[in-house]
Amino acid sequence: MRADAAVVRDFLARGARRLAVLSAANGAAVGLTVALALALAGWPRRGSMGTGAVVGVVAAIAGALISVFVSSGRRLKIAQSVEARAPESRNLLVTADELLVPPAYDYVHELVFARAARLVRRLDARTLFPARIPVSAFVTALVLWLLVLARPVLPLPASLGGPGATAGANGLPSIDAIDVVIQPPAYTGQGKTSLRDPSRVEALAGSRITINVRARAERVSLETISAHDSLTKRGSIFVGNVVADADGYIALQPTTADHGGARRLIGLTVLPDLPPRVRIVTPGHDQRFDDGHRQLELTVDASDDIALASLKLRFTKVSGSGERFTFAESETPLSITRRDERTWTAHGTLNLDSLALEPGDMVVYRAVAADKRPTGGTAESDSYIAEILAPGGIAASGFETDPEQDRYAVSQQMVILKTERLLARLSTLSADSLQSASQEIAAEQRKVRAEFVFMLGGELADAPDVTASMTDLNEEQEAEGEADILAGRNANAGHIALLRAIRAMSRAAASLTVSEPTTALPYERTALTQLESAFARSRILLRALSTRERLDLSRRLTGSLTDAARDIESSAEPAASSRVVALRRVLSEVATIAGTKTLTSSNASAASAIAERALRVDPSSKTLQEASSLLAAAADAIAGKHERDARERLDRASSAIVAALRTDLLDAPTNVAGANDARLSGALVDALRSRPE
Amino acid sequence: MNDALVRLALRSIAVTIATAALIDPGVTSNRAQRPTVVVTVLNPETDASLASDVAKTLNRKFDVVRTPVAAASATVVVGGRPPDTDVTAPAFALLSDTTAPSVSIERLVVPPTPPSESRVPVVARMTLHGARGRSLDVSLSAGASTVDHVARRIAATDTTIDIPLSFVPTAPGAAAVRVTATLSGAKSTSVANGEIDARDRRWPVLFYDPRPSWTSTFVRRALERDPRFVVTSRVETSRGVSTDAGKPPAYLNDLSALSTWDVVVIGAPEGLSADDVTGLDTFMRRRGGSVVLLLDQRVAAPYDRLTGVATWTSRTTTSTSLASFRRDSISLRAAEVVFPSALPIGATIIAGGAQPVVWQTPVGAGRLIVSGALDAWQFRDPSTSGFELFWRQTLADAAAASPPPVTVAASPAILSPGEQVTLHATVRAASLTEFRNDRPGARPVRATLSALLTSIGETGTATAVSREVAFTPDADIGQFVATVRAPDRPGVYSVDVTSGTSAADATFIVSTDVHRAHVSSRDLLGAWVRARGGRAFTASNIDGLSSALASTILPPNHLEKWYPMRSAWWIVPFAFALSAEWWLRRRRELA
Repeated sequence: MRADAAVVRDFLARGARRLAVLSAANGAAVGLTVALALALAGWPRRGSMGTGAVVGVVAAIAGALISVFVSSGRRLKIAQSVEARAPESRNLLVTADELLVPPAYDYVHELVFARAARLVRRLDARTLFPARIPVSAFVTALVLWLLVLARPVLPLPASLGGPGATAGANGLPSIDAIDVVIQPPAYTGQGKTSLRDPSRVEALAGSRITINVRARAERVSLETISAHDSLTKRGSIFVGNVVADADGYIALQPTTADHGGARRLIGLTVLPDLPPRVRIVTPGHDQRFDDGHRQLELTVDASDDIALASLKLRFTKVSGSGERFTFAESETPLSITRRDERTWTAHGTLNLDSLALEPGDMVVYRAVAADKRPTGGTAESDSYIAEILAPGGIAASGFETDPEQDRYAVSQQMVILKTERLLARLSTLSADSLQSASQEIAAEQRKVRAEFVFMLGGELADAPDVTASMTDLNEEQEAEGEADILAGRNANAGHIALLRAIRAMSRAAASLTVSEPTTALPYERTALTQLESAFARSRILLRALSTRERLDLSRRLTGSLTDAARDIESSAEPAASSRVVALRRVLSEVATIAGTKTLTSSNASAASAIAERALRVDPSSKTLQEASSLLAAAADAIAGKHERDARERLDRASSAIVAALRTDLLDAPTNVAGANDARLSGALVDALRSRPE
Repeated sequence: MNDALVRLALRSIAVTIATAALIDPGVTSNRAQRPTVVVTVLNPETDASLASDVAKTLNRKFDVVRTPVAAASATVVVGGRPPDTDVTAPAFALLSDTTAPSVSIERLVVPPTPPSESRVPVVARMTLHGARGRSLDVSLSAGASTVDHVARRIAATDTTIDIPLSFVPTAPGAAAVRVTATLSGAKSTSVANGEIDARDRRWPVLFYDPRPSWTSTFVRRALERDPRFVVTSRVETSRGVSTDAGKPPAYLNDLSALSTWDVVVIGAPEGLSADDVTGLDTFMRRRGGSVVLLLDQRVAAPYDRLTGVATWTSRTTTSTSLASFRRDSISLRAAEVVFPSALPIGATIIAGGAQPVVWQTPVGAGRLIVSGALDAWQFRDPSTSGFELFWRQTLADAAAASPPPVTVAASPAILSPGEQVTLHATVRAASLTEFRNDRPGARPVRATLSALLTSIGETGTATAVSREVAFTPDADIGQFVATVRAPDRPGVYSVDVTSGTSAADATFIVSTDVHRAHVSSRDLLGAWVRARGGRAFTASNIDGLSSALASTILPPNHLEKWYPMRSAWWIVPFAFALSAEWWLRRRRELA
C-alpha cells in the first residue's frame, strides 16, 4: 500500500513541477513581450544593446516568478487538474490525494491507492500538461525580443531601427536625425537638456554636449570652430561629445568611403558664467581714526548668476613709513546669510585693536567672492582704507600731491554743494549776483580741477583759461596721447576715470563761467562719480612720465636750423576689413548657388559649407547666426529636394548677410552732378551775389 | 410845359432811333465771347458716353466742340493716356473712375558709379492707386538672390512714395538689379531693372594745413581709415618745414598740380595766403573740385573772399549736437561754433540747422564747404558724436561731386538686344573752360574724343573688341554724344572713351528680360495736363472740371465791327416812344 501511495504522490508531484515549469515559461514569455514592447517604444535608447538585454532578462525572470507565484493555487490542486484532463479517473485521484494527507493505511486507503497507482501508471504528465503552447509562446517572445534587441546590428532599414543603408536613395550618405544632450557643468547643479534636430544650441560655458546622430553613412565627422573629429559608431547611432567653450558651430557630415553627404550645421552659443558681484555696503568709504582701539562693523553683499561658493573679507595691514613699508595679508571671518544660493549677505567685524596699529598705519580691506567654477571665478569689491592718523597731522589722502593746505580746502563735493545752494536761491538773485556767485564757484571748480591735472603730470600753465575757451582741459595734450590710449598704454582704469573727471570739471567750470549753474551741476556730479571710480577702482594712480615729456633742457636751442627738414612719409593705406571681405565672399557664394538652375546635392554641401563660413566670420552676431541657420536649412531643403523652400531660404540668407554687411559700410554718394549742372549753379550764385543790393 | 418837353423828348427818341436805323452805323471794339472748349475722346468705343456727359455739363458755360479748332480756349481730354498730338492749352483730363488697386515703379534712382567699398542706396519711386490699408512689398534682387526687402502698409488711397533699398556690391563691376513691387490685392506686380556699376575707384583727397590743426588732423585720420580715399597731406610745422604724406603740391596756386585731387581740405585756413586762396578759387571754378575749410578759430583772413560771408557769429555753449541735413542720422557735436550771421546766397546747410555750422556753396563748377565746428574734434566718442562718420560721408559727397577729367554715361544702362543706347561724354577741361565768344582774340576750345565698344565677360576682362563708336559734339562745349545699337548678344558691354591722356568708361547691360521703371498712363496723363496748366479729374467729379475750366480760362475778347442798330430790340423803345408821345397828345386832346 505504501508503494502505491508513493507512486500516486510522485505522479502528483511530477505534475505540479511540470505545471510550475510551464507557468514559468508563460510568465517569461509575457515578460519578454513587455520588454519587447518597451524596446519598440524606445526604452532603453536605441543602440544600448547591453541595457536592452538586461532589461529583457529581468523582465523574463520577473514574468516567470510572477507566473509561478500566481499558479501556485493550481499546483496545490494538481489532482483536480489531472482529473479534469483524465476523465477516466472518476474522482479516484482526487480521493487518493485527499487520503495522502494525513497518510493512513487501512483497507479503503489500500484499495484507493492501489487503483490510483494503476491509473497513474497509465497516465503521462506530458500528455496531461502539454508544453507546446507555453514553450512556443516563450520561444516566440524570446526570438522577437532578440530581434528587436539586435536591430542595430541587423541589416534592417533605419525606419525599423536598423542601421539603415550606408547611403541614401541618391547614393549619398545622409543624416536622418540629430539628438543633442546638453549637460551643464556639475558645479551648476543643473540638469540635462535634450534637443532634437536643433539649428542652434545655447549652452553654459563648460557644458558637455553629447551628440547622437542617426545617419545613413559609414562615418560621421564632427567639426567645430577649433577642432575636427569623427563620431563613434554605436549600432546605428554615431555618438560624439563637444565641450562648450566658445561661440561657434557644430558641423556634422556623413561620409562613406567614396562620398561625403550634406553637412548639418548647428550654431553654438556659449553663455559665460559671469563672475560674482560683490561690494562692501557698510561702511562703504574710507575712514580715518585717531587711534586703533576700535572695531569696524562690515556688511558685504554678493551675488552670482548661478551660485556663490565663498565670500571672504581680506585685509592688508600697511605699516611703516618712507621706503620701509611692511604689508601683512590676513582674513577676518564673516557671518553669511544666504537668501538663496545666488544672493548672499555677510556681516563681520574687523577688530583694529587686535592689529596693533601704530599712528600712520592703515588697513586696506576688500571682500572677495567666488562662484562654484572649479577654475576659480572670483571677484573683489572696491578696496577701502581705515587709517590711523599720525599725531598732529591730517589725513594722508594719497591722492593729493600739493602741500599747500588751501588747495585741499575746496573739494569736488563742496563745489556740488555750493552749486546746489546757488540753484536753490536762483529765483532771488539778480543777474549780476548770479554771475558773480556762479563765477566764484567756477573759480573753485578750476582750483579742484587743477589739483588733478597736476596729479596726472600736466602743467597747470598748459591749460588754457577756462573763461576763454571750452577747452579748459588741455585737449591737445590728450589728443597727443591718443596713440598711447589706442595702444593700450593708458589702460589704467583709474587714470582714464580721472581724465574723464577732469573733462567733466572743465565743462562744469565753463558752464559756471557763463552763469549756467543748472547745466554745470550734472557735469560736477559726473566728475565726482568719476573721481570715486578712479580712486576706488585701483587705489593706485601711476604718474607716468612718457618719453615725450622727458625734455633734455641742456639740448635746447643747440641744434642747427638747417637740419630742420621736410618730413616725408608715404600715404596711409587703410587695412581692408577682413569681416567685410569674408562676408562679401559668402554673399557671392550664396548668389552663385541661388543662380543655379537646378539645385543638386553638391549645392547642398556648398550651402552647408557657406553656412559654416558665415558663422565663422562672427559667431556672436545674431544676424550671421540667422543667416547661417537659413543656409543650413536651405542645405537640408536642397538635400530633401524641396527646391522652392531652398530658394526661399537662400533669399532670406542673402538678405541677412547683406544686412550684416550694411553695418560695416557707408552709403555711396548720390549727389553726383555733371560738370555742366555744377557750372550752372556756380554761375547763378555768382550772378546773384554780384547783383546790386 | 412839362408835357410838351416830354412829348418832344419822346418824339426825338423815336426819330433818333429811326434815323440811326436808316444810317446803320458800324462800331469796332473788343468784345468778350463764350469760350470754346475742345473735348477730345481718345477711345470713342469706350469713352463716348463719358465724353457726352462732359459736353453736356460744359455746354452750360462754354461752346463745346469735338474737333480741334484754332480758336479753342481749352482742351478736355477724355481717356486714360495723353493724346498723340499736341492740343490747345490749358488742357484738362477726365479719367474714368477706377478703384482697382495697382502699383507701378515710376522711377529707379541708382548712383551711376558707386565705389565698391560702400553700400549703394537704391530708391524706387512707387505710384499706388486704391492702396489704402493694403500692404506693399518691395524687394531688391541681384541675380537670383534677394538682397533687400521692405514691407509697408499704405495709408493713402492714391499716393506716390519713395522706397529706400540698398545693395552691397560683392565685387567691382556692373551688376543688374531688379526691384519688384507687389501690392496686396493688385492683379499684377511691377518690376524695374537697373544697373549698378560699382567701381574700385578711390577718391584722392589733399589735406593742407598752413599750421598744425587738430581739427584737420582728426578729419584726416578718419579718412585714412576709409578705403574709399587716398589721402595726401602737408602740414606746415614751421617756416619752410612741413610734414608730408604722399606727394602734396608745393603750392596751392598751381592748378595743374592741384587738379589731381577731387577734394582739398584746408586746416587752419586763416594761414592761407592770398595766392593760395586764388589757387583754390581756380581749383573750384576750372577743375570743378571741392574745397573744405576746417576752421578752428575765427579771424579775418584772405579766405573770407571765398566764403562770401559778411559777418560771423560765434557761440560757446555746452556741447550740442549738430544734426546733419542728409538723409542719414549722423550728427556732429561741438561746443564752440562759428557760423555766418546770414548764409550767403546759394549756400546750403550741411549740419547745424538754425546755426548753419557746416555749410556749402557753389563756386564756379566746384563747391566750397565750410565747417565752423571749432572744437568738434574733441567729441570723437562714437557713442555721442558721429565725428568720423560725418566727415567720411561729407567728404565722400564732396569728392563724388568733383567731375573726373572725362565722363561718359550710357542711357538707358540696361536695354534689350538691338535697342538704341545714347552715350553722353564730357571732357572736363573743355567743358569748364571759360569761353567768351565776344571777347577779342578768343581762341576756340579744342577737345577730341575716341571711343571703343567692347564686350566684357563675367570676370570683367574684355573678351572681344566690338567696334569703334563715333561721338559727335553736342550742344555745349566739351560735350559729345553718340548713339549705338545694342549688340544682339546679351551681356555686359563697355564703352571706353579716351581724350588726350584721360580715359573713362561706361557700361551697359544687354538683356532679354528688361523691365523699365515707367509712369502709368493715367499718371502720365496727369503730369501731361499739369504741364499744360490743367488738372486731371475723375468721372465722378465732372462739376469740378467745369469749375476749374471756368476759373482757368478767360472769355476771349477780340476786335469786332458790329452794328448796334441791327438789333430787333430797338423796336421796343421806338414803339414805346411813339406810343407814349401819342398817348400824351391824346390826353391833352391834341390828337
